[in-house]
Amino acid sequence: MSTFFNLTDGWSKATSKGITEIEQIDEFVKAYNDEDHCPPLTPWSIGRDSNVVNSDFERIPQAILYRQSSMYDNYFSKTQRWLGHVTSINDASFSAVLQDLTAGGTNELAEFDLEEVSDEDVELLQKGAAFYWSIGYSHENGQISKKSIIRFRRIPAFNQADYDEILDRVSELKNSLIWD
Amino acid sequence: MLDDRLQVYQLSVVLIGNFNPIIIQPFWLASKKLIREKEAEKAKVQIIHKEIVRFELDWAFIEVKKDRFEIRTTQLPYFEPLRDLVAGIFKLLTETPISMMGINHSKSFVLRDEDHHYEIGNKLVNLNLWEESLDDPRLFHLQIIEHKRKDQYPGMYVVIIEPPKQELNIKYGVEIKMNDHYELGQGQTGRNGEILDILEKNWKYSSDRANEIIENIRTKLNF
Repeated sequence: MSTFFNLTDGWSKATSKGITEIEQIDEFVKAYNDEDHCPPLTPWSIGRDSNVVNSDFERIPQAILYRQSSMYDNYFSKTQRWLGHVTSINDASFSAVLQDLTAGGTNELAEFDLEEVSDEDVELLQKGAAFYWSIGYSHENGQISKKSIIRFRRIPAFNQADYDEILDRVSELKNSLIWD
Repeated sequence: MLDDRLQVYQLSVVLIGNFNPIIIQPFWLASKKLIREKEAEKAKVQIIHKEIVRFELDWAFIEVKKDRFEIRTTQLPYFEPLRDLVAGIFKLLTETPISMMGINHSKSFVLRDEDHHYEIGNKLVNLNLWEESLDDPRLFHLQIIEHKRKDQYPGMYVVIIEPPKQELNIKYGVEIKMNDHYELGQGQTGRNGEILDILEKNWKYSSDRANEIIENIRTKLNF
């Protein structure tokens, strides 16, 4: 099977937001992860049975037809990207060390206004936090504009396996050290 | 240095495995803090069904089928967030078996004029060979495969050269696509994060290699 692009632009059925019972999905994911082998994928069950969902799907009254928007309606050109790590936070700004992801080279220091951080990223802003900063030309439905985007890195919290892996690496590193 | 001829850079990650599409939907991603709540609210959901989930965020298109997961973006600021999102999803769905991965880079370039456009096709494939048989032969699509990867991973590398997408309205241009394809090694099951490990370790290598290949060919073809 190919792992190449599968461009599927075209007409599609739009539905409502679908399943929103997060707790039920979480229960399902937990059970899914606990299985020794991948469980049969049909019928799925997260509190409803597949027949109900199928009929729900077929009967959705507000289903509409719309054209999937093209990836080429919105894109960036001539963009410079950095990976930043927060070094200090003040009342109105924060400082960071930046690694150039576009051209490489030495690290740079920069200061950013707190106003540049999106509301939902504020909780991620702390000393040591990683973020991506980009400046480039945005092409949005034909309109070109210069944009600066800050996005804090979102990764799942460490689990036991991650801690174990880190401890293994520390142990390996410790054993590889040669003391004079 | 920023590139004047580069018009659009599209990046996608495709995973082949055994997925449960219904799980991977905007509100679940937001509940796990992998995307912003607002992004989930604004997501354009096309379909959420046990067989297929397909939706667009402001910055990415995601499609999940039972045997295939794909995410792609044309927005350069979100290349790394795209990788983080893939890694985040499957770190939560730890037992999902993943057997193959493609990190796909695609760049569309604008060329000077018609002569330049023809010259590039003629250099890639000797069009004179076809002149007796065809009237005004042109190169349409070229695919080159490296069967054995240069690094230690099983898989292959595919380069495709073809005209850019019509939606871009590029009069004379070329699109270069690279399928950086990885497979599991012998004895690996795909249930222990082997493919995710490659994604995280080889991300920069994949990008550097794609750019190196493109720059090499651009130098040789003079664009």
